[in-house]
Amino acid sequence: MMPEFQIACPQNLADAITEASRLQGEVLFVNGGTDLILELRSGQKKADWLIDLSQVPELQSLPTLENGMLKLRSGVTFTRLSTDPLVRKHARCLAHAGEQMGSAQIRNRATLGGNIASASPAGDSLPALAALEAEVTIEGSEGARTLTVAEMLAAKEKTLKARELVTEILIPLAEQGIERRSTFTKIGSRTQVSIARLNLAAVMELEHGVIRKMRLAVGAIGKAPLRLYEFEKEWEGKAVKAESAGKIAGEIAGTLAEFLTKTVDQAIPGRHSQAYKRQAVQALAFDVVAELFPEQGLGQGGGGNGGR
Amino acid sequence: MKLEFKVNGKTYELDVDPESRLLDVLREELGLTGAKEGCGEGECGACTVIMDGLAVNSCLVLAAQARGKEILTVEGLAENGELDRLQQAFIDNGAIQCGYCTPGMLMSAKALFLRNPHPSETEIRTALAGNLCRCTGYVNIINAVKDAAEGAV
Ligand SMILES: Cc1cc2nc3c(=O)[nH]c(=O)nc-3n(C[C@H](O)[C@H](O)[C@H](O)COP(=O)(O)OP(=O)(O)OC[C@H]3O[C@@H](n4cnc5c(N)ncnc54)[C@H](O)[C@@H]3O)c2cc1C
Ligand code: FES
Ligand code: FES
Repeated sequence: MMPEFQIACPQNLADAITEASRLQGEVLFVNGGTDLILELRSGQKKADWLIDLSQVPELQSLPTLENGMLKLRSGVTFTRLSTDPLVRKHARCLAHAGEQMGSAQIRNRATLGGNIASASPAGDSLPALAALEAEVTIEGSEGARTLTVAEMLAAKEKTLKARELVTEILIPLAEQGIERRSTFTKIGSRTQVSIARLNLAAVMELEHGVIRKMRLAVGAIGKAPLRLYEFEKEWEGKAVKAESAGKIAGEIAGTLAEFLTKTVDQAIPGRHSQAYKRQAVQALAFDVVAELFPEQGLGQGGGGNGGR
Repeated sequence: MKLEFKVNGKTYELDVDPESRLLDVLREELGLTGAKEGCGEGECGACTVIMDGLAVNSCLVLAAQARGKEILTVEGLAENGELDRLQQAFIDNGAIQCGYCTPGMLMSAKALFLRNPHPSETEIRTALAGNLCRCTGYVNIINAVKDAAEGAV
C-alpha cells in the first residue's frame, strides 16, 4: 500500500519553486514516478507532500538549440530523447541511451531530470551526459545555478539540495567544421527491461580526419560514471585517414577493452560480478568502436553483446 | 482531491485520494477491471493503458497525474459492439490462454498502431517488450499483432 501524502500540482515553474519552499514537512518532487512511486510504496522514501512536475510546461517543452548548446528540459522523457531529431544529431549517445532503457511504457514516463536526480549508479543517461560534458541547471527559492554533471554527481548530497529541482540540461555542441560521433551501449542482466549493469558512452570529434576529442564514460561500476581520461588522451591528435581507419578502429577497440578491464578490476575487486563483467566489457569495447567507425564493418568483433 | 479526466471518451470528475494510482482509480472507482495489477512495479505490463496516445504502466502513474488526460483502456477498444481488429486477431491466433496479460498486450499493441499502423516484427517486439506472458510463449501474440497490422483480419 501507498503511505499517505498530499500532492501539489503547480501550473508553472515559478509556482513549483514557491510551493517547494512554502510546504511543510518532507517535500519531494515527482515527474515520471517510475522511481519514486516504487520507493514510496516500499517505504524507502517518505513524503508529506509531493510536488507534481509532470504538467509544468516549462519543464516539458521540446529540445532547442541556444548559444551553442543543445538545451533539454528536465521533463524530457526517454521516448523523446530517443526520437528527437536534435538529440539524435548532436547527442546521439543520449538518444541511444533513451532507446535502450526500460520498456516502451517506462520510456514514455521516465524523465531525464528524474534519472539525474535519482543518480542511481546504473542510471543510463549519466555516462552519456558525462561523455558529452553536459551541464545541469538547478533552481530553488534562492535562485538558479549551473553545475557540470560530473560536479553534480561527485557529491550529490551537497549539490542537489532538498526542495531544489533540476530544470535544464545543457549540452555543448561541436564547434563549426567538427564532426561529432557518439554512441552508448550497455550490458544488463535481462534483455529490454533492466537496470544496466554496465553502461558506456563514447563521444569522438573529428576535424579533417584527425581525432580532436575523445570522451568516454563508464557507468554502473561506481557511484558516478568514470571518465577514462588516460585513454582519451592517448587518441587525441591521431589521424584517421580513410585507408587506415580500419586499423585505427581496431587498435582503439583493443586498447579500450584493456582499459575497461583494468577499470572494472580496480573498481570492483573481488565482487562476484567481476568475471562476467571482464568478459562483457571486451564485447562492449568492440561494439562502441564499431559504432564510432560505422564505415569499417567491425560489428562482430566483440562476439555477442549481452546487452540485447 | 478532485480529478477531472476522460476515460474511453467519457469525462469524469472524481474525488480521489492523493496517494491512489491511476490503476486504483480505474479499477476501484470506475469498475474498469481490464487493467490488472500483476507486479505493481512496472515490470509486467498487465496494467498498461494508453494515456494521451502513449502506453503507460498505470501502476506507476499517480491518479492526480492523469488530470486533464485522455485514457484509453481495453474496455474502450471495441466500438459499437464490434471488436477491435487487434482483439479479433488475438482470438483467431490463439494468443490468449489465461488472459491475465491480454488487456496490457492489447493496449501496448494499440499504442504502437496509433503511431505506426504498419510496424515491422522488430517494432512489434520492441513495443511489447514491457509486457510479460507466462502462458503463451509469445509467438501467437506476435503473430496476432502482425496479422492485425497487415489487416489480415
Ligand atoms: C521497470 C523499470 C525499468 C527501468 N529501467 C531503467 C533503465 O533501463 N535505465 C535507467 O537508467 N533507469 C531505469 N529505470 C529507473 C527509472 O525509470 C529512471 O531512473 C527514470 O529516469 C526516473 O525518472 P522519473 O521521471 O520517473 O523520476 P521520478 O520517479 O518522478 O523521480 C525520481 C527521483 O527524482 C526526483 N526528481 C524527479 N524529477 C526531478 C527534478 N526535475 N528535479 C529534482 N528532483 C527530481 C524525485 O523526487 C525522485 O526522488 C527503470 C524503472 C522501472 C520501474
Ligand atoms: S502491474 Fe504495472 S507493470 Fe506490473
Ligand atoms: S495468457 Fe496467461 S499470462 Fe499471457
